[in-house]
Amino acid sequence: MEALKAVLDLFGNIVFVPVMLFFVALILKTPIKKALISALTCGVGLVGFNFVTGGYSPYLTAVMNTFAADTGFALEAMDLGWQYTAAIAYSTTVGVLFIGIGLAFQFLIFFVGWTPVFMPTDLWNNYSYIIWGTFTYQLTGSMLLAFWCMILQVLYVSLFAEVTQKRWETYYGYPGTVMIAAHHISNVPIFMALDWVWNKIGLDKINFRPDAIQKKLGFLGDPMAIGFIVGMLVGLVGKFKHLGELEAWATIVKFAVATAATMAIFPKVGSIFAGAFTALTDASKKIVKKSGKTREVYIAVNDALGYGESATLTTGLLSIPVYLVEAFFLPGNIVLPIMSLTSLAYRCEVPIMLGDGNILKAMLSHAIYAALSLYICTYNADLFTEMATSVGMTWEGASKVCGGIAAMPGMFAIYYAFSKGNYLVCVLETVLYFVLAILYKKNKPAVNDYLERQATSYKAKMEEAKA
Amino acid sequence: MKKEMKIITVCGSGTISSKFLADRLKEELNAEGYGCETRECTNGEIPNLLATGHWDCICHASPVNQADFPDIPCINSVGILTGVGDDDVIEKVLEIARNK
Repeated sequence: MEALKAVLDLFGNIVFVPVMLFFVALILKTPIKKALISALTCGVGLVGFNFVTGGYSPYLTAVMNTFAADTGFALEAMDLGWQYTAAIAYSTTVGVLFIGIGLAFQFLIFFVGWTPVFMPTDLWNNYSYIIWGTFTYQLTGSMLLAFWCMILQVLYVSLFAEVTQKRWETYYGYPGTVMIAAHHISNVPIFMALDWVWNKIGLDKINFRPDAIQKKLGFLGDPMAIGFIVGMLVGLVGKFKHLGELEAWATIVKFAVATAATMAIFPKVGSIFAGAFTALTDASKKIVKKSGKTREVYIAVNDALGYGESATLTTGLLSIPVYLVEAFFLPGNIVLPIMSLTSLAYRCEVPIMLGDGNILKAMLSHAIYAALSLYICTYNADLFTEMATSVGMTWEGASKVCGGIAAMPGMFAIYYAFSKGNYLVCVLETVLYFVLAILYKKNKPAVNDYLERQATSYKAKMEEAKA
Repeated sequence: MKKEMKIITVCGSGTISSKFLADRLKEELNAEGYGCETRECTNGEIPNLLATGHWDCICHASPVNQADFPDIPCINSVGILTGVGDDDVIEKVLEIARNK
Protein backbone atom coordinates (compact mmCIF):
# COMPACT_ATOMS: atom_id res chain seq x y z
CA MET A 1 0.00 0.00 0.00
CA GLU A 2 2.83 2.37 0.95
CA ALA A 3 4.70 1.50 -2.25
CA LEU A 4 1.55 2.07 -4.29
CA LYS A 5 1.06 5.46 -2.69
CA ALA A 6 4.67 6.41 -3.43
CA VAL A 7 4.17 5.49 -7.09
CA LEU A 8 0.93 7.49 -7.24
CA ASP A 9 2.61 10.54 -5.75
CA LEU A 10 5.47 10.23 -8.20
CA PHE A 11 3.28 10.09 -11.31
CA GLY A 12 0.58 12.40 -9.98
CA ASN A 13 -3.05 12.75 -10.97
CA ILE A 14 -2.30 13.66 -14.58
CA VAL A 15 -1.08 10.11 -15.20
CA PHE A 16 -2.91 8.11 -12.59
CA VAL A 17 -6.45 9.35 -13.30
CA PRO A 18 -6.26 8.74 -17.09
CA VAL A 19 -5.00 5.19 -16.48
CA MET A 20 -7.94 4.45 -14.15
CA LEU A 21 -10.37 6.01 -16.59
CA PHE A 22 -8.97 3.83 -19.36
CA PHE A 23 -9.82 0.68 -17.43
CA VAL A 24 -13.30 1.91 -16.48
CA ALA A 25 -13.94 2.66 -20.17
CA LEU A 26 -12.83 -0.83 -21.13
CA ILE A 27 -15.15 -2.36 -18.53
CA LEU A 28 -18.02 -0.39 -20.11
CA LYS A 29 -17.05 -2.06 -23.42
CA THR A 30 -15.60 1.06 -25.07
CA PRO A 31 -13.40 0.21 -28.09
CA ILE A 32 -9.73 0.30 -27.12
CA LYS A 33 -8.78 3.17 -29.43
CA LYS A 34 -11.59 5.34 -28.07
CA ALA A 35 -10.66 4.41 -24.50
CA LEU A 36 -7.06 5.45 -25.13
CA ILE A 37 -8.11 8.80 -26.56
CA SER A 38 -10.48 9.31 -23.62
CA ALA A 39 -7.68 8.66 -21.17
CA LEU A 40 -5.29 11.02 -22.90
CA THR A 41 -8.00 13.71 -23.12
CA CYS A 42 -8.48 13.40 -19.38
CA GLY A 43 -4.78 13.89 -18.68
CA VAL A 44 -4.61 16.85 -21.04
CA GLY A 45 -7.59 18.47 -19.31
CA LEU A 46 -5.99 18.03 -15.89
CA VAL A 47 -2.74 19.63 -17.07
CA GLY A 48 -4.80 22.42 -18.64
CA PHE A 49 -6.45 23.22 -15.29
CA ASN A 50 -3.02 23.61 -13.72
CA PHE A 51 -1.90 25.84 -16.59
CA VAL A 52 -4.85 28.18 -16.09
CA THR A 53 -4.66 28.43 -12.31
CA GLY A 54 -0.87 28.70 -12.53
CA GLY A 55 -1.18 31.54 -15.04
CA TYR A 56 -3.83 33.33 -13.00
CA SER A 57 -1.98 33.04 -9.69
CA PRO A 58 0.50 35.93 -10.09
CA TYR A 59 -2.32 38.39 -10.87
CA LEU A 60 -4.35 37.13 -7.94
CA THR A 61 -1.33 37.34 -5.64
CA ALA A 62 -0.68 40.95 -6.67
CA VAL A 63 -4.15 41.96 -5.55
CA MET A 64 -4.54 39.67 -2.57
CA ASN A 65 -1.19 40.27 -0.85
CA THR A 66 -2.48 43.48 0.74
CA PHE A 67 -6.19 42.65 0.57
CA ALA A 68 -6.86 41.39 4.08
CA ALA A 69 -4.53 43.85 5.83
CA ASP A 70 -5.88 46.89 3.98
CA THR A 71 -9.58 46.14 3.89
CA GLY A 72 -10.28 43.99 6.92
CA PHE A 73 -12.05 41.50 4.65
CA ALA A 74 -10.44 38.17 5.45
CA LEU A 75 -11.46 36.38 2.26
CA GLU A 76 -8.57 33.95 2.21
CA ALA A 77 -10.29 30.99 0.55
CA MET A 78 -10.44 31.27 -3.22
CA ASP A 79 -13.43 29.57 -4.82
CA LEU A 80 -12.01 27.69 -7.80
CA GLY A 81 -15.34 27.02 -9.47
CA TRP A 82 -17.07 23.81 -10.45
CA GLN A 83 -14.84 22.73 -13.30
CA TYR A 84 -11.78 22.66 -11.08
CA THR A 85 -13.74 21.07 -8.25
CA ALA A 86 -14.80 18.28 -10.59
CA ALA A 87 -11.22 17.77 -11.77
CA ILE A 88 -10.09 17.42 -8.15
CA ALA A 89 -12.95 15.06 -7.31
CA TYR A 90 -12.22 12.70 -10.18
CA SER A 91 -8.57 12.63 -9.14
CA THR A 92 -9.20 11.29 -5.64
CA THR A 93 -9.07 7.62 -4.73
CA VAL A 94 -12.69 7.76 -3.59
CA GLY A 95 -13.57 9.38 -6.91
CA VAL A 96 -11.98 6.74 -9.07
CA LEU A 97 -13.67 3.98 -7.06
CA PHE A 98 -17.01 5.79 -7.18
CA ILE A 99 -17.01 6.06 -10.97
CA GLY A 100 -17.22 2.27 -10.93
CA ILE A 101 -19.20 1.44 -7.79
CA GLY A 102 -21.52 4.47 -7.79
CA LEU A 103 -22.35 3.97 -11.43
CA ALA A 104 -23.07 0.28 -10.88
CA PHE A 105 -25.39 1.24 -8.00
CA GLN A 106 -27.24 3.77 -10.16
CA PHE A 107 -27.79 1.09 -12.80
CA LEU A 108 -28.95 -1.32 -10.11
CA ILE A 109 -31.64 0.87 -8.51
CA PHE A 110 -33.03 1.57 -11.96
CA PHE A 111 -33.03 -1.99 -13.26
CA VAL A 112 -34.58 -3.54 -10.13
CA GLY A 113 -37.34 -0.93 -10.51
CA TRP A 114 -36.70 0.90 -7.23
CA THR A 115 -36.62 4.23 -9.11
CA PRO A 116 -37.83 5.29 -12.57
CA VAL A 117 -34.93 7.76 -12.70
CA PHE A 118 -32.08 6.58 -14.91
CA MET A 119 -29.13 8.45 -13.43
CA PRO A 120 -26.13 7.22 -15.47
CA THR A 121 -26.93 9.48 -18.46
CA ASP A 122 -25.69 12.39 -16.34
CA LEU A 123 -22.55 10.58 -15.32
CA TRP A 124 -20.49 13.77 -15.31
CA ASN A 125 -22.16 15.26 -12.25
CA ASN A 126 -21.13 12.35 -10.05
CA TYR A 127 -18.26 14.51 -8.83
CA SER A 128 -20.82 16.13 -6.58
CA TYR A 129 -21.11 12.96 -4.49
CA ILE A 130 -17.39 12.27 -4.61
CA ILE A 131 -16.53 15.51 -2.82
CA TRP A 132 -18.54 14.46 0.22
CA GLY A 133 -17.27 10.90 0.14
CA THR A 134 -13.71 12.18 0.02
CA PHE A 135 -14.32 14.60 2.92
CA THR A 136 -15.79 11.72 4.94
CA TYR A 137 -12.81 9.53 4.12
CA GLN A 138 -10.35 12.30 5.04
CA LEU A 139 -12.00 12.81 8.42
CA THR A 140 -12.90 9.27 9.45
CA GLY A 141 -10.48 7.14 7.44
CA SER A 142 -13.40 4.81 6.78
CA MET A 143 -14.12 3.78 3.21
CA LEU A 144 -17.34 2.20 4.46
CA LEU A 145 -18.67 5.50 5.82
CA ALA A 146 -17.52 7.35 2.68
CA PHE A 147 -19.40 5.03 0.35
CA TRP A 148 -22.43 4.74 2.62
CA CYS A 149 -22.63 8.54 2.62
CA MET A 150 -22.38 8.81 -1.18
CA ILE A 151 -24.84 5.97 -1.83
CA LEU A 152 -27.34 7.52 0.60
CA GLN A 153 -26.93 10.87 -1.17
CA VAL A 154 -27.59 9.12 -4.49
CA LEU A 155 -30.78 7.66 -3.02
CA TYR A 156 -32.02 10.97 -1.61
CA VAL A 157 -31.21 12.76 -4.86
CA SER A 158 -33.03 10.16 -6.96
CA LEU A 159 -36.08 10.66 -4.71
CA PHE A 160 -36.01 14.48 -4.77
CA ALA A 161 -35.42 14.41 -8.53
CA GLU A 162 -38.50 12.26 -9.00
CA VAL A 163 -40.51 14.65 -6.80
CA THR A 164 -39.56 17.62 -8.99
CA GLN A 165 -39.65 15.72 -12.29
CA LYS A 166 -43.10 16.96 -13.31
CA ARG A 167 -42.15 20.58 -12.52
CA TRP A 168 -38.89 20.28 -14.47
CA GLU A 169 -40.66 18.73 -17.44
CA THR A 170 -43.48 21.31 -17.38
CA TYR A 171 -41.46 24.44 -16.75
CA TYR A 172 -38.40 23.76 -18.89
CA GLY A 173 -40.23 21.70 -21.48
CA TYR A 174 -38.14 18.55 -21.70
CA PRO A 175 -40.59 15.64 -21.65
CA GLY A 176 -39.44 12.39 -20.10
CA THR A 177 -36.32 13.90 -18.58
CA VAL A 178 -35.34 14.74 -15.04
CA MET A 179 -32.68 17.11 -13.76
CA ILE A 180 -30.40 15.15 -11.51
CA ALA A 181 -27.38 17.33 -10.63
CA ALA A 182 -26.96 16.51 -6.95
CA HIS A 183 -25.69 19.95 -6.00
CA HIS A 184 -29.08 21.41 -6.91
CA ILE A 185 -31.54 18.58 -6.38
CA SER A 186 -30.32 17.82 -2.85
CA ASN A 187 -31.65 21.26 -1.85
CA VAL A 188 -35.20 20.59 -3.01
CA PRO A 189 -36.67 20.37 0.53
CA ILE A 190 -35.09 23.71 1.47
CA PHE A 191 -36.40 25.40 -1.67
CA MET A 192 -39.85 23.85 -1.22
CA ALA A 193 -40.04 25.22 2.32
CA LEU A 194 -38.88 28.68 1.24
CA ASP A 195 -41.31 28.74 -1.67
CA TRP A 196 -44.12 27.87 0.72
CA VAL A 197 -43.14 30.82 2.93
CA TRP A 198 -42.96 33.23 -0.03
CA ASN A 199 -46.42 32.14 -1.16
CA LYS A 200 -47.81 32.59 2.36
CA ILE A 201 -46.70 36.23 2.41
CA GLY A 202 -48.02 36.83 -1.08
CA LEU A 203 -44.80 37.22 -3.05
CA ASP A 204 -46.10 34.88 -5.73
CA LYS A 205 -48.32 37.71 -6.91
CA ILE A 206 -45.36 39.96 -7.68
CA ASN A 207 -44.26 38.80 -11.07
CA PHE A 208 -41.38 40.57 -12.84
CA ARG A 209 -41.06 39.75 -16.50
CA PRO A 210 -37.55 38.75 -17.36
CA ASP A 211 -37.36 39.86 -20.99
CA ALA A 212 -36.87 43.57 -20.35
CA ILE A 213 -34.30 42.95 -17.59
CA GLN A 214 -32.49 40.41 -19.72
CA LYS A 215 -32.12 42.82 -22.63
CA LYS A 216 -30.53 45.39 -20.33
CA LEU A 217 -28.24 42.80 -18.76
CA GLY A 218 -27.48 41.07 -22.04
CA PHE A 219 -23.85 42.16 -22.08
CA LEU A 220 -23.37 40.27 -18.81
CA GLY A 221 -24.24 37.03 -20.59
CA ASP A 222 -20.64 36.78 -21.72
CA PRO A 223 -18.45 35.28 -18.98
CA MET A 224 -15.61 37.55 -20.08
CA ALA A 225 -17.66 40.65 -19.24
CA ILE A 226 -18.56 39.29 -15.81
CA GLY A 227 -14.92 38.38 -15.20
CA PHE A 228 -13.72 41.85 -16.10
CA ILE A 229 -16.31 43.71 -14.03
CA VAL A 230 -15.88 41.52 -10.97
CA GLY A 231 -12.10 41.63 -11.35
CA MET A 232 -12.22 45.42 -11.39
CA LEU A 233 -14.51 45.43 -8.38
CA VAL A 234 -12.41 43.07 -6.27
CA GLY A 235 -9.25 44.87 -7.40
CA LEU A 236 -10.66 48.28 -6.43
CA VAL A 237 -11.71 47.02 -3.02
CA GLY A 238 -8.35 45.30 -2.49
CA LYS A 239 -6.29 48.33 -3.48
CA PHE A 240 -8.65 50.86 -1.91
CA LYS A 241 -5.88 52.55 0.09
CA HIS A 242 -3.56 52.84 -2.91
CA LEU A 243 -5.85 54.36 -5.53
CA GLY A 244 -3.56 57.40 -5.77
CA GLU A 245 -0.77 55.23 -7.14
CA LEU A 246 -0.48 54.40 -10.83
CA GLU A 247 1.06 51.05 -9.99
CA ALA A 248 -2.05 50.03 -8.06
CA TRP A 249 -4.23 50.88 -11.07
CA ALA A 250 -2.01 48.77 -13.29
CA THR A 251 -2.39 45.87 -10.87
CA ILE A 252 -6.18 46.30 -10.75
CA VAL A 253 -6.72 46.45 -14.51
CA LYS A 254 -4.31 43.60 -15.19
CA PHE A 255 -6.15 41.55 -12.57
CA ALA A 256 -9.48 42.38 -14.24
CA VAL A 257 -8.23 41.27 -17.67
CA ALA A 258 -6.68 38.13 -16.18
CA THR A 259 -9.97 37.33 -14.42
CA ALA A 260 -11.85 37.80 -17.71
CA ALA A 261 -9.34 35.49 -19.37
CA THR A 262 -9.74 32.85 -16.68
CA MET A 263 -13.53 33.04 -16.98
CA ALA A 264 -13.25 32.54 -20.75
CA ILE A 265 -10.54 29.87 -20.79
CA PHE A 266 -11.52 27.75 -17.79
CA PRO A 267 -14.72 26.38 -19.39
CA LYS A 268 -12.74 25.45 -22.51
CA VAL A 269 -10.32 23.42 -20.44
CA GLY A 270 -13.27 21.92 -18.59
CA SER A 271 -14.67 21.05 -21.97
CA ILE A 272 -11.51 19.15 -22.93
CA PHE A 273 -11.58 17.34 -19.59
CA ALA A 274 -15.26 16.46 -20.06
CA GLY A 275 -14.47 15.01 -23.47
CA ALA A 276 -12.87 12.14 -21.60
CA PHE A 277 -16.28 11.21 -20.23
CA THR A 278 -18.11 11.14 -23.58
CA ALA A 279 -17.27 7.50 -24.16
CA LEU A 280 -18.54 6.45 -20.72
CA THR A 281 -21.78 8.39 -21.12
CA ASP A 282 -22.42 6.98 -24.59
CA ALA A 283 -22.07 3.46 -23.24
CA SER A 284 -24.67 4.26 -20.54
CA LYS A 285 -27.16 5.69 -23.02
CA LYS A 286 -27.12 2.59 -25.19
CA ILE A 287 -28.11 0.53 -22.17
CA VAL A 288 -31.16 2.63 -21.22
CA LYS A 289 -32.47 2.83 -24.77
CA LYS A 290 -33.30 -0.86 -24.65
CA SER A 291 -35.44 -0.69 -21.51
CA GLY A 292 -37.26 2.59 -22.21
CA LYS A 293 -40.14 1.01 -24.06
CA THR A 294 -41.46 -1.23 -21.32
CA ARG A 295 -41.99 1.06 -18.33
CA GLU A 296 -41.97 4.61 -16.99
CA VAL A 297 -38.46 6.01 -17.37
CA TYR A 298 -37.12 9.46 -16.57
CA ILE A 299 -33.78 10.05 -18.24
CA ALA A 300 -31.36 12.13 -16.21
CA VAL A 301 -30.07 15.28 -17.85
CA ASN A 302 -27.75 17.88 -16.43
CA ASP A 303 -28.47 21.40 -15.31
CA ALA A 304 -27.15 22.94 -18.56
CA LEU A 305 -30.58 22.39 -20.08
CA GLY A 306 -32.18 24.99 -17.86
CA TYR A 307 -29.42 27.58 -17.93
CA GLY A 308 -30.40 29.79 -20.87
CA GLU A 309 -34.11 30.05 -20.01
CA SER A 310 -34.95 33.77 -19.57
CA ALA A 311 -36.15 33.83 -15.96
CA THR A 312 -33.36 31.48 -14.86
CA LEU A 313 -30.59 33.42 -16.57
CA THR A 314 -31.95 36.76 -15.37
CA THR A 315 -32.19 35.56 -11.77
CA GLY A 316 -28.64 34.22 -12.02
CA LEU A 317 -27.33 37.58 -13.24
CA LEU A 318 -29.27 39.62 -10.68
CA SER A 319 -27.96 37.34 -7.94
CA ILE A 320 -24.31 38.13 -8.70
CA PRO A 321 -24.20 41.44 -6.74
CA VAL A 322 -26.23 39.89 -3.93
CA TYR A 323 -23.79 37.01 -3.65
CA LEU A 324 -20.78 39.34 -3.68
CA VAL A 325 -22.27 41.54 -0.97
CA GLU A 326 -22.94 38.43 1.12
CA ALA A 327 -19.37 37.21 0.62
CA PHE A 328 -17.92 40.53 1.71
CA PHE A 329 -20.21 41.34 4.61
CA LEU A 330 -21.38 38.09 6.19
CA PRO A 331 -19.43 37.87 9.44
CA GLY A 332 -17.08 34.90 9.50
CA ASN A 333 -17.14 34.20 5.79
CA ILE A 334 -13.70 33.60 4.25
CA VAL A 335 -14.78 32.63 0.71
CA LEU A 336 -13.94 34.84 -2.27
CA PRO A 337 -16.39 33.50 -4.84
CA ILE A 338 -15.06 34.73 -8.19
CA MET A 339 -15.17 31.57 -10.28
CA SER A 340 -18.68 30.64 -9.13
CA LEU A 341 -20.31 33.86 -10.27
CA THR A 342 -21.19 32.65 -13.76
CA SER A 343 -22.85 29.53 -12.38
CA LEU A 344 -25.46 31.21 -10.21
CA ALA A 345 -28.10 30.67 -12.89
CA TYR A 346 -27.71 26.91 -12.45
CA ARG A 347 -28.37 27.27 -8.76
CA CYS A 348 -31.54 29.23 -9.46
CA GLU A 349 -33.12 26.47 -11.54
CA VAL A 350 -34.83 24.65 -8.69
CA PRO A 351 -36.43 27.75 -7.11
CA ILE A 352 -37.35 29.06 -10.56
CA MET A 353 -39.18 25.91 -11.59
CA LEU A 354 -40.88 25.56 -8.19
CA GLY A 355 -42.09 29.17 -8.45
CA ASP A 356 -43.06 28.96 -12.13
CA GLY A 357 -40.45 31.52 -13.19
CA ASN A 358 -41.00 34.02 -10.38
CA ILE A 359 -37.75 36.00 -10.27
CA LEU A 360 -38.30 37.71 -6.94
CA LYS A 361 -39.04 34.48 -5.07
CA ALA A 362 -36.09 32.73 -6.68
CA MET A 363 -33.71 35.57 -5.86
CA LEU A 364 -34.74 35.56 -2.21
CA SER A 365 -34.46 31.77 -2.01
CA HIS A 366 -31.07 31.88 -3.63
CA ALA A 367 -29.84 34.62 -1.29
CA ILE A 368 -30.68 32.55 1.79
CA TYR A 369 -29.27 29.39 0.34
CA ALA A 370 -26.10 31.17 -0.85
CA ALA A 371 -25.48 32.47 2.67
CA LEU A 372 -25.75 28.93 4.04
CA SER A 373 -23.47 27.73 1.28
CA LEU A 374 -20.81 30.36 2.06
CA TYR A 375 -20.72 29.22 5.69
CA ILE A 376 -20.46 25.55 4.70
CA CYS A 377 -17.72 26.48 2.25
CA THR A 378 -15.88 28.34 5.00
CA TYR A 379 -16.34 25.43 7.42
CA ASN A 380 -14.89 22.97 4.90
CA ALA A 381 -12.17 25.19 3.40
CA ASP A 382 -9.33 23.39 5.20
CA LEU A 383 -10.65 20.00 4.15
CA PHE A 384 -11.04 21.15 0.56
CA THR A 385 -7.53 22.58 0.52
CA GLU A 386 -6.17 19.32 1.89
CA MET A 387 -8.06 17.36 -0.78
CA ALA A 388 -6.79 19.60 -3.59
CA THR A 389 -3.21 19.37 -2.34
CA SER A 390 -3.40 15.60 -1.99
CA VAL A 391 -4.15 15.17 -5.70
CA GLY A 392 -1.31 17.47 -6.70
CA MET A 393 -3.25 20.60 -7.64
CA THR A 394 -1.23 23.76 -7.21
CA TRP A 395 -2.06 27.45 -6.90
CA GLU A 396 -0.71 30.63 -5.37
CA GLY A 397 -2.20 33.87 -4.16
CA ALA A 398 -4.70 32.35 -1.78
CA SER A 399 -3.84 30.45 1.37
CA LYS A 400 -6.88 28.21 0.99
CA VAL A 401 -9.02 27.00 -1.88
CA CYS A 402 -12.62 25.85 -1.92
CA GLY A 403 -15.49 25.10 -4.25
CA GLY A 404 -18.88 26.72 -3.87
CA ILE A 405 -20.37 23.74 -5.61
CA ALA A 406 -18.99 21.53 -2.87
CA ALA A 407 -20.89 23.50 -0.22
CA MET A 408 -24.53 22.79 -0.91
CA PRO A 409 -26.73 22.71 2.20
CA GLY A 410 -28.69 19.62 1.15
CA MET A 411 -25.61 17.48 0.58
CA PHE A 412 -24.00 18.87 3.74
CA ALA A 413 -27.03 17.95 5.85
CA ILE A 414 -26.79 14.31 4.80
CA TYR A 415 -23.00 14.25 5.13
CA TYR A 416 -22.57 15.85 8.55
CA ALA A 417 -23.30 12.75 10.66
CA PHE A 418 -21.00 10.68 8.43
CA SER A 419 -18.16 13.16 8.86
CA LYS A 420 -18.49 12.74 12.63
CA GLY A 421 -18.64 8.95 12.36
CA ASN A 422 -21.97 8.93 14.19
CA TYR A 423 -23.32 5.55 13.14
CA LEU A 424 -26.63 5.96 14.98
CA VAL A 425 -27.56 9.11 13.06
CA CYS A 426 -26.29 7.55 9.82
CA VAL A 427 -28.67 4.63 10.33
CA LEU A 428 -31.54 6.99 11.21
CA GLU A 429 -30.89 9.02 8.04
CA THR A 430 -30.97 5.83 6.01
CA VAL A 431 -34.22 4.72 7.62
CA LEU A 432 -35.69 8.19 7.04
CA TYR A 433 -34.89 7.87 3.35
CA PHE A 434 -36.82 4.61 3.07
CA VAL A 435 -39.78 6.04 4.98
CA LEU A 436 -39.89 9.11 2.71
CA ALA A 437 -39.44 7.03 -0.43
CA ILE A 438 -42.29 4.67 0.47
CA LEU A 439 -44.58 7.54 1.52
CA TYR A 440 -43.84 9.26 -1.78
CA LYS A 441 -44.49 6.17 -3.87
CA LYS A 442 -47.92 5.87 -2.20
CA ASN A 443 -48.81 9.55 -2.63
CA LYS A 444 -47.09 10.50 -5.84
CA PRO A 445 -50.15 12.05 -7.59
CA ALA A 446 -51.00 14.08 -4.47
CA VAL A 447 -47.43 15.40 -4.17
CA ASN A 448 -47.35 16.30 -7.85
CA ASP A 449 -50.68 18.12 -7.51
CA TYR A 450 -49.42 20.02 -4.49
CA LEU A 451 -46.30 21.22 -6.31
CA GLU A 452 -48.30 22.26 -9.38
CA ARG A 453 -50.75 24.16 -7.14
CA GLN A 454 -47.92 25.90 -5.28
CA ALA A 455 -46.31 26.88 -8.57
CA THR A 456 -49.34 28.11 -10.46
CA SER A 457 -51.93 29.22 -7.89
CA TYR A 458 -50.74 32.82 -8.35
CA LYS A 459 -52.50 32.95 -11.71
CA ALA A 460 -55.93 32.48 -10.12
CA LYS A 461 -55.07 34.89 -7.30
CA MET A 462 -54.09 37.58 -9.78
CA GLU A 463 -57.27 37.06 -11.78
CA GLU A 464 -59.24 37.44 -8.54
CA ALA A 465 -57.42 40.64 -7.67
CA LYS A 466 -58.25 42.07 -11.07
CA ALA A 467 -61.94 41.22 -10.70
CA MET B 1 -13.71 18.30 -52.13
CA LYS B 2 -14.93 17.30 -48.71
CA LYS B 3 -17.65 19.58 -47.38
CA GLU B 4 -16.82 21.23 -44.04
CA MET B 5 -19.60 21.90 -41.57
CA LYS B 6 -19.11 24.66 -39.01
CA ILE B 7 -21.33 24.21 -35.98
CA ILE B 8 -21.76 26.18 -32.77
CA THR B 9 -22.77 24.01 -29.81
CA VAL B 10 -24.36 25.75 -26.84
CA CYS B 11 -24.91 24.91 -23.19
CA GLY B 12 -24.90 26.73 -19.86
CA SER B 13 -21.15 27.14 -19.39
CA GLY B 14 -19.97 26.04 -22.81
CA THR B 15 -18.28 23.15 -21.06
CA ILE B 16 -19.90 19.76 -20.62
CA SER B 17 -23.11 19.34 -22.62
CA SER B 18 -21.87 21.42 -25.55
CA LYS B 19 -18.78 19.21 -25.68
CA PHE B 20 -20.92 16.06 -25.71
CA LEU B 21 -22.96 17.51 -28.58
CA ALA B 22 -19.81 18.47 -30.49
CA ASP B 23 -18.21 15.04 -30.13
CA ARG B 24 -21.31 13.20 -31.32
CA LEU B 25 -21.94 15.54 -34.26
CA LYS B 26 -18.32 15.23 -35.39
CA GLU B 27 -18.53 11.46 -35.22
CA GLU B 28 -21.79 11.30 -37.22
CA LEU B 29 -20.76 13.88 -39.83
CA ASN B 30 -17.37 12.26 -40.35
CA ALA B 31 -19.07 8.90 -40.81
CA GLU B 32 -21.15 10.43 -43.63
CA GLY B 33 -18.05 11.87 -45.25
CA TYR B 34 -18.31 15.46 -44.06
CA GLY B 35 -15.72 17.44 -42.20
CA CYS B 36 -16.84 19.16 -39.04
CA GLU B 37 -15.54 22.04 -36.99
CA THR B 38 -17.29 22.91 -33.74
CA ARG B 39 -17.06 25.58 -31.10
CA GLU B 40 -18.57 25.13 -27.66
CA CYS B 41 -20.00 28.25 -26.06
CA THR B 42 -22.53 29.73 -23.64
CA ASN B 43 -25.74 31.48 -24.64
CA GLY B 44 -24.15 34.88 -24.08
CA GLU B 45 -21.22 34.11 -26.34
CA ILE B 46 -23.30 33.25 -29.44
CA PRO B 47 -23.49 36.78 -30.92
CA ASN B 48 -19.72 37.31 -30.66
CA LEU B 49 -19.01 33.92 -32.14
CA LEU B 50 -21.40 34.48 -35.04
CA ALA B 51 -19.54 37.68 -35.83
CA THR B 52 -16.30 35.73 -36.35
CA GLY B 53 -17.38 34.31 -39.70
CA HIS B 54 -19.72 31.87 -41.38
CA TRP B 55 -21.44 29.17 -39.32
CA ASP B 56 -23.83 26.51 -40.63
CA CYS B 57 -26.04 25.92 -37.61
CA ILE B 58 -26.41 26.28 -33.85
CA CYS B 59 -26.99 23.05 -31.93
CA HIS B 60 -28.15 23.84 -28.42
CA ALA B 61 -28.65 22.02 -25.12
CA SER B 62 -29.72 25.08 -23.14
CA PRO B 63 -32.65 26.99 -24.66
CA VAL B 64 -31.85 29.22 -27.64
CA ASN B 65 -34.58 31.29 -29.26
CA GLN B 66 -34.61 30.92 -33.05
CA ALA B 67 -36.18 34.39 -33.30
CA ASP B 68 -33.02 35.91 -31.78
CA PHE B 69 -30.89 34.44 -34.57
CA PRO B 70 -33.04 34.55 -37.71
CA ASP B 71 -30.16 33.96 -40.14
CA ILE B 72 -28.96 30.61 -38.91
CA PRO B 73 -30.84 27.37 -38.12
CA CYS B 74 -31.06 26.70 -34.37
CA ILE B 75 -31.50 23.00 -33.60
CA ASN B 76 -32.66 21.78 -30.20
CA SER B 77 -30.19 18.97 -29.61
CA VAL B 78 -31.23 17.68 -26.20
CA GLY B 79 -31.98 14.35 -27.88
CA ILE B 80 -28.26 13.72 -28.23
CA LEU B 81 -27.83 14.09 -24.47
CA THR B 82 -30.71 11.83 -23.50
CA GLY B 83 -30.25 9.29 -26.28
CA VAL B 84 -33.96 9.61 -27.08
CA GLY B 85 -34.63 11.35 -30.39
CA ASP B 86 -30.91 11.71 -31.14
CA ASP B 87 -31.42 10.37 -34.66
CA ASP B 88 -33.81 13.24 -35.47
CA VAL B 89 -31.25 15.83 -34.37
CA ILE B 90 -28.52 14.21 -36.43
CA GLU B 91 -30.81 13.94 -39.46
CA LYS B 92 -31.50 17.70 -39.24
CA VAL B 93 -27.79 18.48 -39.20
CA LEU B 94 -27.07 16.05 -42.05
CA GLU B 95 -29.84 17.70 -44.05
CA ILE B 96 -28.05 21.04 -43.72
CA ALA B 97 -24.77 19.41 -44.70
CA ARG B 98 -26.31 17.83 -47.83
CA ASN B 99 -27.79 21.14 -48.97
CA LYS B 100 -24.61 23.04 -48.40
